[in-house]
Amino acid sequence: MIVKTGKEEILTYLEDASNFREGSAERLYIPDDEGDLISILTDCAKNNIPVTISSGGTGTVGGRVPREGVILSMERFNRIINIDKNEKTSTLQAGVVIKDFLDLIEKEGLFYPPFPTERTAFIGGNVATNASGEYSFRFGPTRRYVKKIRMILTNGDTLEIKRGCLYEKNGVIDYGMFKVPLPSYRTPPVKCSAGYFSQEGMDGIDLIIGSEGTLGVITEVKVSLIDALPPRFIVIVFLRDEEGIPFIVKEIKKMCGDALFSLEFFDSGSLEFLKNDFPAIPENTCAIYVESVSNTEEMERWLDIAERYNAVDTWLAEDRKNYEKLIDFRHRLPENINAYFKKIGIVKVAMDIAVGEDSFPEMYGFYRDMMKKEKIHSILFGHIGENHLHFNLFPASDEEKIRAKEIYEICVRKAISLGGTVAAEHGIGKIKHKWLEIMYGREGLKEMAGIKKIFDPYCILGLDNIFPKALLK
Amino acid sequence: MNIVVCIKQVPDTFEVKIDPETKRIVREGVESIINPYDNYAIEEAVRLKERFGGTVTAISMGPPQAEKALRDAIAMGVDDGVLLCDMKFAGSDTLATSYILSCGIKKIGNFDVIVCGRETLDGSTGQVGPEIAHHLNIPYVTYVSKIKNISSGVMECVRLMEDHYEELKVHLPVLITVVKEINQPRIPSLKGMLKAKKAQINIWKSDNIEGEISSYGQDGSPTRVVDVWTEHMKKEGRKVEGETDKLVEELATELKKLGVL
Repeated sequence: MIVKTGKEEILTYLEDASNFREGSAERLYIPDDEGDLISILTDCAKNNIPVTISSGGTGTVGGRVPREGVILSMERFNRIINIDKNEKTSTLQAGVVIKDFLDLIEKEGLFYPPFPTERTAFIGGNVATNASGEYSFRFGPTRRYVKKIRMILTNGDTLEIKRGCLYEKNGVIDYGMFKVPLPSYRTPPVKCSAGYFSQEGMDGIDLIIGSEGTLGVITEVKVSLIDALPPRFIVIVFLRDEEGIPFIVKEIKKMCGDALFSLEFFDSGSLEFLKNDFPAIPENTCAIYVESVSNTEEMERWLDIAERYNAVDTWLAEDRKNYEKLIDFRHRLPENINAYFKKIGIVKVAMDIAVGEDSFPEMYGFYRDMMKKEKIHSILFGHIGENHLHFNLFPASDEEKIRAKEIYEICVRKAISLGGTVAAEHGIGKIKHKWLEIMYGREGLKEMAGIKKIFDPYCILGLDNIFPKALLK
Repeated sequence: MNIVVCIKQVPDTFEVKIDPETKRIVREGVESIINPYDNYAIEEAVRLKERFGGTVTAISMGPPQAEKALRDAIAMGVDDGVLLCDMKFAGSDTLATSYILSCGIKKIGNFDVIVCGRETLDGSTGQVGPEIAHHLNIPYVTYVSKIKNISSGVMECVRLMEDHYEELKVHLPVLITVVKEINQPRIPSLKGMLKAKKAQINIWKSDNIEGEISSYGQDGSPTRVVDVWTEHMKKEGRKVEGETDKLVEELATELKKLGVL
């Protein structure tokens, strides 16, 4: 085990990909094995020292950033224990880096469907945040692929949960060593990564997935895999009709839903952020970006779509070089936006709202009206196939900053009224408590705190993630 | 305006493998791509067509699978593809290659501008372009970084030199070789890609062009390759672990030993 106390040595662990800058810790532990882990946790429990779990640091809501206490880095839990080609599963330690895992299973002709965009993330972090990925339109987020979790609780006990073994019954999930009541709120049936999962008859493992490091320390997971993906192409269709997008997307889903791996949207303002890198982007257009199974029939279908909706231009990547160029097109936008937020020196105002299929046109129209009505520079882009767009605002003055927060709340309330979520993929962490409270009410947050106390009676783990620690008193 | 663009299919790798017996490039097992510099040539040819009208024909000499490179060029906006493909062409050096290409271009006929990339990824001689111009007895400009205008049969262009630019005027027909500063090659459109998939590529054998057979292939190649080898870079690494203070000391000592510090 490595222990570090020097300020500079800990520094990089005090941040993640968010702009959350309140990190502070007295010590960093890098345990080698579960034995180390148990002794750290029991010691901290005895001395009432807060513990924050640290994974790859790619999160965007400050989940791994501690306000106090010690950091527990899982980087040495980096062993891929096995890959079962027949069963198409893999068991691996929580600190395995996604890229290493993807590379290894690729050699075996297998694929990990959650396919997180941040390849330096850890698998444990993926499970703890129910991470989404590049193909979540087709495959959904991490949850579906987690078959087993092994975790250490703050009292030093080990909890192993297999999918399909314990279910909620009569309002209770019985984990053997304790019983947990099902919260009264329900996780909406949309792409959602907001607070503890709650559904009637739910599998006990689903409470752990997406619990953001507040219930126990995940040390090992077993995930299901699929066969390597078939060849794919990417097509970007540049369109003028920004208002008609929800209708066009609906038609696209109807026509080629089964062939699609991702279905993304960039409004005209988003494309402006990409013009330095891709000067050929046509003026005054928005874009639909898809990745599809590659064959001539699908290509012809897309030409048909492009012609039907008067596309200004189309870009098609079939070979490796152009494919990489267009993957870069997709990844570059969030990077350029983050760089811009940094340049103008403001904290990100970026929404992560998703709603159901039927409500999406209304939500989209709501964003569009807001963009026309308000003076603040804003853009709209993201995972339109999952009814999940990121509405970003760039306030230029103090007044606009205040207004941007108000707009955020107005959008959150609209989404909730439509049965949506405030956090579709980024989670809650330390920066979205307010929105989660609007979604589930104070009572909902208290119920989550109650569940946490059952798993972690010492109340030391992942404090201030999901809900304020004050609720634990 | 009739434009011809010369392209070559090359192995998609920086680490070119050489057959120790024949001293030629091993193409088996390596994905083939359009020579990266030729993408700029294709893009510029298509842009010339868009600016001044006309047609673009891509021409290549190579094995049957080089047809793929011509289809990729059509996907980017080229109108037609010609592949010069015959066992008699095999083993051509730059002189024979440029001769065969010039025979192909003569057959295409009626050309105003011929565009080539500055050099290939595998051979890197930069000779084929100028040699084609020689065979066709037309002027050529190498390392073109901008075509400012073409009017009344004269091209105004800028040429990238080591530490300066040259501005030139040259009469058509002309051959130019282009550098990557000239443009950003486009990503194919759906329409272009579908057109490319269905396009008929013209395959011309030695019988289809008018040239001296003795100038084709090995017979027409005065170049003799004495030896070719791949330089092996030696990489070494050592992982050191432990407490930070000790590690810093150890690293410093090691770096001093290696003469880095």
